Amino acid sequence: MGAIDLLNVIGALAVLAPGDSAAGSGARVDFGRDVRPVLSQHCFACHGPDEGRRKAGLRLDLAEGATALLESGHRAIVPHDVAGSELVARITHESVKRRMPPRSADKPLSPDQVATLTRWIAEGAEYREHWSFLPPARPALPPPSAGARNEVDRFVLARLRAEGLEPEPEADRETLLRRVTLDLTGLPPAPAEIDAFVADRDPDAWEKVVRRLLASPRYGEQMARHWLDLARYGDTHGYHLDNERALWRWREWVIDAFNRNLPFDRFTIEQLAGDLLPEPDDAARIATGFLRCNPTTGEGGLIEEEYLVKYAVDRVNTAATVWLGLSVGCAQCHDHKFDPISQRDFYGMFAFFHSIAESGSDDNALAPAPAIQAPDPEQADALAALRARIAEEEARLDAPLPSVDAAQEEWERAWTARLAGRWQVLDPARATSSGGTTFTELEDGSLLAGGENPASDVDEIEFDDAPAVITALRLETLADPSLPLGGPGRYPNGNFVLTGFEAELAAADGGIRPIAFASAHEDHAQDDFPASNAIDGNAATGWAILPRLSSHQALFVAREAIERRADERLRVRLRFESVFAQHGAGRVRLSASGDPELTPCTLSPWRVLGPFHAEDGNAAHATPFGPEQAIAGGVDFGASWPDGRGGGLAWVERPDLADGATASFAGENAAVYLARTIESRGERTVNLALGSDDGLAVWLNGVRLLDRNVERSVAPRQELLAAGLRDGGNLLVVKVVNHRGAFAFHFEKAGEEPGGLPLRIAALLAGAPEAAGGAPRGDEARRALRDHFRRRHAPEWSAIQERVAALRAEQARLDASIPRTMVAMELAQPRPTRVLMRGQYDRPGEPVEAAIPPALGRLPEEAPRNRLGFARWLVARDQPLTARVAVNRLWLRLFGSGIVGTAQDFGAQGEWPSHPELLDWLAVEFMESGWDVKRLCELLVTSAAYRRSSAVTPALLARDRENRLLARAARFRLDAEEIRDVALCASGLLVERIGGRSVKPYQPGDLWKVVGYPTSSTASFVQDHGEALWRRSLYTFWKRTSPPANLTAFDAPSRESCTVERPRTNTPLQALVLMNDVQFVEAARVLAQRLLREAGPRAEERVTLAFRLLVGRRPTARELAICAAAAARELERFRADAGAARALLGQGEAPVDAALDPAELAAWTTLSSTLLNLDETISRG
Amino acid sequence: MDPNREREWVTRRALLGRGAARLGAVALATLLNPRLLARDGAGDRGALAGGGPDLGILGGVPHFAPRAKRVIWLFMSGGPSQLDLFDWKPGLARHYDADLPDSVRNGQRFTTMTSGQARFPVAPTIYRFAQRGESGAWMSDLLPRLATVADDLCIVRSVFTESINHDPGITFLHTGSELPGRPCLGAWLSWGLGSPNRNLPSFVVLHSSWSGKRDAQALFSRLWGSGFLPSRHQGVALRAQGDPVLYLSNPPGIDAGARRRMLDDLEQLNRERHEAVGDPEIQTRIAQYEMAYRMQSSVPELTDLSGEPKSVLDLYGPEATTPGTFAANCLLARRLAERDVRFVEVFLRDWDHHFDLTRDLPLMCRDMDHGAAGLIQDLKQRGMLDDTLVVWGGEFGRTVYCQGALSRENYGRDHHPRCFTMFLAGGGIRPGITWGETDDFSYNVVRDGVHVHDLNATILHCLGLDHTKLTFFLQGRDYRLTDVHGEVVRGLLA
Repeated sequence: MGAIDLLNVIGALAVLAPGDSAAGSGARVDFGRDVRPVLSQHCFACHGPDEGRRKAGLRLDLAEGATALLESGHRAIVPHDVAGSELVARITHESVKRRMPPRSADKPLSPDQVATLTRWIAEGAEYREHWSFLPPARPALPPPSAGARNEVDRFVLARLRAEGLEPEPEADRETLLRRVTLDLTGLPPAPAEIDAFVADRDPDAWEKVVRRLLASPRYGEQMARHWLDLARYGDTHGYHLDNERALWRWREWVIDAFNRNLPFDRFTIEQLAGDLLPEPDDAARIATGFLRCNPTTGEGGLIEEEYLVKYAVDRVNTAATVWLGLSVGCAQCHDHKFDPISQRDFYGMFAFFHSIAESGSDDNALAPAPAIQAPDPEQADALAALRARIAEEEARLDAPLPSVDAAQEEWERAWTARLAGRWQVLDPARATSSGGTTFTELEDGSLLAGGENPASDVDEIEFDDAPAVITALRLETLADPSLPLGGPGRYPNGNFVLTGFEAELAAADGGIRPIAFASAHEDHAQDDFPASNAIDGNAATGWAILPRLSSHQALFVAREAIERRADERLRVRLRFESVFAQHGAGRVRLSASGDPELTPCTLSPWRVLGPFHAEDGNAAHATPFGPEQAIAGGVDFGASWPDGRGGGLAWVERPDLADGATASFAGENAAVYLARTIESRGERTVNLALGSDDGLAVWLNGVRLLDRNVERSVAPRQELLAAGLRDGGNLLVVKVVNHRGAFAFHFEKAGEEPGGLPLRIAALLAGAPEAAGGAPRGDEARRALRDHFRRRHAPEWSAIQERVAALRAEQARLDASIPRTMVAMELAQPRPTRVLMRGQYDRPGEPVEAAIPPALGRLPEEAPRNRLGFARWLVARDQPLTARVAVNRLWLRLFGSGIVGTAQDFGAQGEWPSHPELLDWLAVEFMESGWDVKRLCELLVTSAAYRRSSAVTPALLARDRENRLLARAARFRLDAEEIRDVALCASGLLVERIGGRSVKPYQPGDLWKVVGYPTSSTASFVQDHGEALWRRSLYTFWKRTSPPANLTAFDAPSRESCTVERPRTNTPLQALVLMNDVQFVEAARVLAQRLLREAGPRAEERVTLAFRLLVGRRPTARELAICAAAAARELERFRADAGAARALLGQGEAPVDAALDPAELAAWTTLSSTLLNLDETISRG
Repeated sequence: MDPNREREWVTRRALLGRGAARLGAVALATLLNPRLLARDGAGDRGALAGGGPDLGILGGVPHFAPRAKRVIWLFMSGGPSQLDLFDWKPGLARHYDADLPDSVRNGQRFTTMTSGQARFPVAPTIYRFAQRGESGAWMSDLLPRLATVADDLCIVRSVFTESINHDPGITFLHTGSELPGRPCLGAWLSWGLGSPNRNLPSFVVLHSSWSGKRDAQALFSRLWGSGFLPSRHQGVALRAQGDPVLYLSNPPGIDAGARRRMLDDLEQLNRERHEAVGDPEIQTRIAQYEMAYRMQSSVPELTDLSGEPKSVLDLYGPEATTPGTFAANCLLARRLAERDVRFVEVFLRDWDHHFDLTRDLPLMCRDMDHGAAGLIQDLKQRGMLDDTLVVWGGEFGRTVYCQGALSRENYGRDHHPRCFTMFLAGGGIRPGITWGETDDFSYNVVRDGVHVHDLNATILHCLGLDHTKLTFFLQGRDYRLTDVHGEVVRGLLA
C-alpha cells in the first residue's frame, strides 16, 4: 500500500470490532485496546522490552523510545504528524524489502491495522501503560436502568443498550435453581428443593436459595475442585516412578477454607507463606502444601540442582498465572518480548521460591520432606482425649499414697544401710593417664582430675586394699564445684563419655587376671548412652549422663566371684575414647563388693527329652508324659520313657542350644521337655523370657509357672516370667508342644534381682537417702524408686500403671495412623540465586535478590524479603492484578467466559476486557469487602445478568456468538467431575462425606500397568470397594501419568501443570463413557431402583421423577411419550430375555433390590441410562 | 464446531450482522483480538457435527504439498544402544577397558548413576557389524530382518537431545519440552490436519509387551497427551486385552440392536431440547453419539486379523497374531494406516540397558526386529510406504564407557544424549542413506547433527507443515512443537 491510500485506510477505521469495542464511527483510537495489541503482535519481538533482540535501537513499547531520535536520523513517531513519522513511512513502504514488519517475520500488517496506527499518530500517539498494570480504581456506576437488580447489571445493561441490544428475559425458576445449584455446589437440586423454590413467592426467595447453597458444605468442595486445577494437585509425584504422594490434607484445607469463607487475601498468604507467619498453626502449615503440588522426580541419576531449579520455576510460573494472570515463563530464558518482565525480574521472583527445604529427589517417598503430621479433626480430638487421660492417670500415679509412702521411706532406709555394708571404698595407690591428666586424691577416696583436658584419655588406677573376694565394682562419678558447670564431667557442658571400664588383678610376678563383667547398672544414663556400653568392648559407644549433672554411679557385676590372692593388686582402667573429644570424667571414686548375692546365677546347658507323640497337638499338650508325671519330686535324668510310637526316649545333653537363639525340633502333634539347673547365690528373682511354636509349660523346682496351650509362630519374649530362685540349685523344666508345621523354642535370661532388688534400684539406693543428708536425688531417680516400691507393695497403683501403658500403646497406634502431609519450610540459610543464562541450571550469571518485577510495583521497605513479603504484596490494595484476576476467574465459572477472555493472560498479549469498568468495580468491591469470596459469589449470582434465559436464537447467535455482551445466560457442558457427581447424586448413590484420602472407584483394564514402572507404588490399579466407589469425584485418586480415564474423556487435566480454563470438547469417547462405563451403568440401575420404589407405578410418574432428579424439571408431553414407549419396549425385550436382564443388573457393586421384578428393573435401567446420556443432563442451562 | 467453520462463521457473522461493507473491520477485529485465534483451538467442539471428515485447523489445506499423509512412530523407550546396533566403531576394540579420553568427554556432564564411578572404561561392542543392502548401511547382527530392508531406511546417526534422564528426555522428544503441559507430535498433527476417517480416532497409541527384564522405564499419558490443545486430539490407546478402546463395548444385556434403539430415543430427546434452547452444541452431541456407535463396529473390525493372508502374517514373524506383541502392533499400525489414521505410535519399552546389556539387548532386538522390518515391507508392497512416514528410535543413546563391571562378554551403558541413532523410512524421506557422523567413540556428533527439534521440523515438513506456522496462541505467545528452534534437515528429504 502506498501512502496515497492513507485516507481510505483512515476511513475504513470508522468501524471497530463488534463485541470488543463500544467505539462507533468517530471514536478516538484507544491505545490499550486498539494499538498496543498490534504493536505487541507485530513489532515488539524486535522493538520491544527484550534488549537482546532489539533492532535499530528502536523501542516501541515506551513513548520515549518511540519518539526518540534514531541512528538513522528519523523519529519513528512524531505525535500529530503522520507525514513526519518514520513508522508510517516504513509500514506503508512501496518496496517489499523496506516495508515493516520484514517479510522474514511473516507477520504482515493488515490495511486496517496500518490505518489504526496511522490514526493513532494523527490523534497524538498517546501512550498509556497497559491497563492491567495500573491499580484498579472504583469507577462511577452507570445510571440506574430498568431491569438492573444490582450494580453488576448497571454496567452490563449500559453496554448492551449502547450496542442496541435488549437482554433476554429471566429463565424459569426450575432452570435457575438447577443452574445456581450446579454452579455453587456442583450437584443438581433435589426435587424438594425445586418445589420449595418454585412455591416461594417471597421477593427474597432467590437470595434465600443462594444463602442456603453458600452455607452448604458442598460449596467448599465445588470451589476447591476448581482450585485443584490451578494448584496442579495430584495424588502422585508425576515424574518417573510416579509414586503416591500425601497431600490430600491440603485438599481438605482448601475445602474447609472455602466453607469457612476464609478471606481470599488470607487464603493466598497461608498457601504461599503459612509457615512464615508468626506462630503458624497446623492449618497454616498444611496450607503451604500448595507450594508442594508441583511434580517431582526420584529418578536415579538425576542432578539435584537441575531439579531444584525446575521446581522453583514451576512455582514462579504457577503463582504468576494464578494470582497475576501473567505468563512469565519466557523470562526464564530471556527478557519477556511483550510484557515488562525482564529475565532478571524472573529470577527476582524465583528467589522467593528457591529456598524451600526440599531435595531435588523426592526419593519416591509418600511424603518427602519437608512434611508434617497432620491429624484430621477426629484424630486430633482422639489424640487430645488420650493425652488428657494419660495425664490424668499419671497424675494419679504421682499422687501421694501416705501409708505406702511411709513404708517406702522405711524400706529405703533399711536397704541403704544393708547396701552400705556391701561396698568398700577403695583407696587409690597409683593413678596414671595416657593423655596427661593429673589426679589429686581427695579425703573421700575420690580422684579429682586436673591439668590439660586431653581429647582422648585412658586412666589407670591401682588399689592395694581390695576385698579378698570381688563380685562387683562400683564407679562413682562425682559432681565437683571445680568442674565445668559443677558437674562430674570435664567437657564444658559437664558431661563425660566412659567408653570402656576394665579391671584386672595384677600379681607381683607380672601375671594378670582380667575380671569379666556380666552386666552394668547405672543410676542414670543419657538416652542411648547406658553404662552397659562401657563393657561392650566397643570404643564407639559409652556411658554419658546429660542432662543431669549431679553425681552418678554405675555398678559393674563380675561374671563370677573372683578370689584375690594377697600378692595381687586390683587395677582399673577407665577409657574415655569417644568421638566426642575431651569427654573425661572429672572426679571418680571406686568401690568393690564381695557380696556373693551380686554374682549372677549360672545356668547349666539344656538337656532335652522327646519328642513324645500324641493324637493331636491338644493331646500332646494335655498329656503328662514321663518326667511330667512326678515332676514335683524332681527329674531323674537317667530314666527313659516310651515315645508313644513304640520307641524309647532318654534325656540328651544339648550344649548347642544357646540362649537368645531359636532351637528347632522335629515332629507334629508332639511334645519335648527341656531341663536345666540354675545355681543362685542367695535368694533372688530372675526374669525369664520365652517364646515357642506352639504350646509351652514351665516348672521351677516342680512348681508350674506357666501353662499356655496356643498355636503360634515362635518369637523372642512371647512370655515373661519372674522366677523366684532359692539359694543353691534350682531345676527349670520346660515343655514345648507342636501342633503342625514348625516346632521351635526361644529362651533368654532377661535380668535378675539379687536379694529381690534390681541392681539399678540397688545403684539408686547405694548413696545415703536424702532424708539422711545424702545428695538430693533427681526426679527420675525418685520416680524409679517410688515406682519400684509401689509396683511391689501397692496393687491398685500397679493397675493404674497398666492402664497408662495400655493408653500409651493406643496413642502410639493412633500416632502411626495419622497422615503426614507435604508442606513448605524455608531453609535456615537461603540458597543463593543467580540469573540462569538461557534458563539453564548449570549456567549461572549475575546474583539477584528476591524482588517483584518493578513494572508491577515494589515491596514496601518493611516487608520481609521472603515468600511472606511476596504473598502480602500479592494481596496489597494497590497491587493491580490479583483482585481482577480472581474476580475474572469466578466470572468465567458463572458466566461461561471471562470479562477478560484470556483468563490466564492479563498481559499485553491478553484480550481487552469486554467490560473494563465492571471488572474494576468488582475488583475494588472484592478487596474492600475484605476479600469476601462468598459475598462475591452472591453478588454475581443475584444479578439479573446471571438469571437470564440461556436459550439462543439464530439472530442472537449470529450477533454475539460467544455471548460476551451477556444478553443471555451461558449454556455449557458440565465439567467431568460434575457429570459423574450428577449421576451419583440423582441415583442416590452419592456418599457425601467430606475429605479424606483419595479413593479408587471403577476404572477399566490395566491403564496403570501399561505405563507404570513396575516397582512404582502406583504400578497397578487396585479398585476400592464400598463407599469409595460413590464419593464425589474430587476425591478420585489422581495418578498424574494416567489420570482417571472417565474424567479425562471430559477434559479433566492431568494436573501436571496449572490449568486455568479447561477446554470443553464434545467427542465420541464421551458418549462411550456415559453409555458403557460401569460407573454410569450402575448409576442408571440404582436410579431405576429409585424410580420404581419412589415414584408411582405409572410410566409417567417414573419418567417425571427421573427428569426432576437429572435435569431439574418436568418432562414435556412429547418427552414423556418417547420415554414411556421406550420403557414399554424394553420391558417387553427383557421379559423375553431374562438372561439379558440379569446380565445388565449385574453391573456395579451396589446391591440389587431383589424385591423388584428384574425385567422391569432392567427396562428402567436402560431408560435411566438414556436419560443420563441426555445433553441436558450433562449441561448447565 | 469445526474450527475451520468457525472462521467461516466469523465471516458470515460479519456479513449477516453488520453488512458486507464491514468485512475489513472483521479482519481487523480478528487480528486485534488474538483470542479469536486461540478460540480456534479452545472453542473446538469436535469437528464432526456435520458428519464430514475432520479437516483440522488448517481446513484440509497444509502449508505446502505433503509427501506423507500419515506417520507411524516406533518408539523404543529407554534409549537403545547406537553402539551395538547402527553406529559401527571398529577402532574401539583397541581401546577395550581404556579410560574414555578427557578430550572426548570434554567436561560434559554424567548422570549421577555413573558420575561417582572412579573410571570410565571403554566397552567396545561384542556384536558383529556388516554393511547391508546396496546402500551398504552398517548394522549389527542383532537386526537381521531390518538388514533386509536397509535400502528403504534413512539411518540418522547424529541425532542429539537435551536431556540426560528418561522422564525429561522422553517428554522432550514427544512434545519439544522437558516439562509436562505441551501437546505431543501426534496431537499437533490431529489438530492441524484432522483426520479423513470418521470412524476412528485420528491418533492411536499401541503399547507392546516385551521379553527382557521386567522393570522397564515408565511411560506417561502426557506422551500422547494434547497439552493445551483440545483433549480430543490426544492419542487413544488401543488395548490388547479387553475393549480395544476404553468403554467401547456395550454392557452385558445391551446388544447392538438395543443400543441402536436407545440412541434413537436419545436423539429424539436431544432434538426436543435443541428445539427448546437452540444450542448448536446439541446437534454436535447427536453426531458424536452416532460416531461412537460407528466406532463400536469399526474398531472390532480393525483388530480382527482373520482376513490377513498367511503371507502377510509371515512378514511380521511368529508373534504377529499374539495380541500386544510388538509384531502384532506393527501389523495393527499398518491396518490403522490403511484406514487413514493420521498418527500411530507403537511403544516398546525396556531398552534401558545400564547393566547386562548383552543379556537384554538381544531379547529386545528379537522382540522388535521382525515386526519393524515386516511393517516396512508390508507398507512397501501395498504402495503405502510412499505416503507413510515410519520413524524408529528412543529418547537418547548410550555411553561408550561401561557402567558397572566390564568384561569381554558383558557390559552396561549409561544414558547418552549427545548422539544416538534413529531411522526414518518412506513418506518423502531419502531411502538408502546414512546421515551424520559421530566421533570415534560415538560420543559427539562431528558432522550433520540433527537436534530433536530439527527432527520434528523435518517430520512436519514431510506432512506439508511449516513447523514455524503450526502454532497455538496461549498466554500471550504462539506455541509450537519446535518451541523457538528447529531447522528442516533438507538432506533427509527425497
